[in-house]
Amino acid sequence: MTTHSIPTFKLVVIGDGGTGKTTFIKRHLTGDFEKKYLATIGVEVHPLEFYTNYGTILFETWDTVGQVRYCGLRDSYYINGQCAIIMFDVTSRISYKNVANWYRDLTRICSSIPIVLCGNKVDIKERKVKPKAIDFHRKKDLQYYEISAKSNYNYEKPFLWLARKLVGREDLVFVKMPALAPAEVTVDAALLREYETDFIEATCMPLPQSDDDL
Amino acid sequence: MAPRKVTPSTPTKHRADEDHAPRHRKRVVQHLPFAKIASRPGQVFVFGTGDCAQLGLGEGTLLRKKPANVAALNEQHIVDIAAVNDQRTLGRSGDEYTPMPVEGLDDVKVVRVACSDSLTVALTDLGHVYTWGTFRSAEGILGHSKETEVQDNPTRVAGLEDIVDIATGTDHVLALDNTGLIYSWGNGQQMQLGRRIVARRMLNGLTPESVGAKNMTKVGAGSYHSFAIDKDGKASAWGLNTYGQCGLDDAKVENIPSVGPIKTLKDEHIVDIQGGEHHSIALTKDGRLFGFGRSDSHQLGLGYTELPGTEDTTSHKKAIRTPTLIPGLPPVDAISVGGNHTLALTREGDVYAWGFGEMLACGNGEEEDVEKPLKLTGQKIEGAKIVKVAAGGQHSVILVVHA
Repeated sequence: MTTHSIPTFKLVVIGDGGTGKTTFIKRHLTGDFEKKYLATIGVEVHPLEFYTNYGTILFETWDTVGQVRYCGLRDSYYINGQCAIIMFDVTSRISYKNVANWYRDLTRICSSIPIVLCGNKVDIKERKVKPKAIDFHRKKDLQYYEISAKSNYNYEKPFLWLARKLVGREDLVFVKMPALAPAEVTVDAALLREYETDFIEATCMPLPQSDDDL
Repeated sequence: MAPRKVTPSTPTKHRADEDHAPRHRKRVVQHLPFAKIASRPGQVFVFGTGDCAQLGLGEGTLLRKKPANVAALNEQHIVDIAAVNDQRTLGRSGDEYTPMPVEGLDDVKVVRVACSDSLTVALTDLGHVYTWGTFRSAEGILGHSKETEVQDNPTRVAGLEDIVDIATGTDHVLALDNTGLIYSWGNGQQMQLGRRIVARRMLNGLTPESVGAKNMTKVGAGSYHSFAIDKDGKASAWGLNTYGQCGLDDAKVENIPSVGPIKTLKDEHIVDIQGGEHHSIALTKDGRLFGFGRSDSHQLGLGYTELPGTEDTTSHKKAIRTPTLIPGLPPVDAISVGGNHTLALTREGDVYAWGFGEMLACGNGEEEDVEKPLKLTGQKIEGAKIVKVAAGGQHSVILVVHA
């Protein structure tokens, strides 16, 4: 997509309709400006650049335009994917329930790529998917972040984690933030702390076991 | 429309304080698929994944590998079961992890319940339809009706009378009235309503309208596709067809916009037909099953079907577009098709399950996909007769009567 030899990775973003995938991707202003539309497969590709202490890297981020789960996304969307973000909406448990289906479809084609699970819209007070209910990433060894696309909260976290995995350097850091669209909402800091505490507590709990199952 | 008589149907009870003896009422229309009343109270058993409180076993149990009893329902006389889930779908406030009565339906007798992703539908003995919750579309919440975004409590659907059967997909509802007409409403983005919904007039889909089929006796639905069976047992389909889940001949069209007959099943007498997320199962009068649609998690129970031209037995077709007989099953009495798995209840009262195994919804305790119909076993249901099955997105519910 670019003429320089910047290390480039195909990132596929999946999840139910209305979970905020497009909003999330569009926060990155230069990426949104340079996006390309692949009409044949109905996909918008946003080149998202990040600046690390090991140099610039580029996520060629694939966003499905409108075509969501019901299509059972075409394989071409996943093929050659090098990393992925699965997004759900913490105000809709149905979108969390469907994470398992998205994960299955993705890993059928991309068998061992780094995947981040993102719970979006944590700025909304009427949260439905409670931190301790979120354990899919633990069963599957994925990374999980709570984000709020509209407030830019944790925006860079998924990219940073993926970059470290892809480059293979745990000490990789972002040296400069890309230009992001200004926050449209603010998140309640006290609420976030509460989520984080709940979350740490939940992480310490053993995964549900059902030994008495007969 | 000619004046019609309201059909009294089998009574349903949800309260423990009333007597449990079955009542005998004359059914005017014999073929109505109302729930059979068991002679003694049944017990509800569940298995699968319950991270959204689907299992009703309390907050501590979010996973169940083998059938477990839902204690909170033991004192009730259950006649129909369905699989539930959010956005006020439960029609009540309070604890979501244990079953409790729905608020606001005290004065009506519910004979059938059906649930979509975010909406619940109840059919009463008077043929009225109540709904609560909301519909979602590819863009998020679509709405409950033109006026209401999320309906908190059960409300009657205007304009529907003498309804005898209901079916729900992920975000659409079908209702059949006693003259054989089918009404559809909800999200129409995948043509599952059987009528064209213009993108900028999406809310038009929220008002029930006839799909234009006549003489129908049963409706069925998949996540994004719909079925109807006419009085001669011939099945029709419409809606999303990306995996051939509509079973129509003209292969690779992505959507079937209006009611089309399934020609490959024309020699069969179909009594029930239902769909999962992208697959479909049809039950014939003589108890055989036909599967079609998505097959990459063995949703059809056909085992490994080789791709044409490959010798590799581990490769299999992603989709089987022609209705295909599912072997290895004793005569089947009833089916329930979940998101990516299927339950079949045999005439002997056994349950067979197959399909996507990772969410444990097949009840064999393994996370592997179940290739072929597998008989459900478990210490807690040993020697018991299963009288009803319901498959949800990632869990299963069975109604058990102990001998």
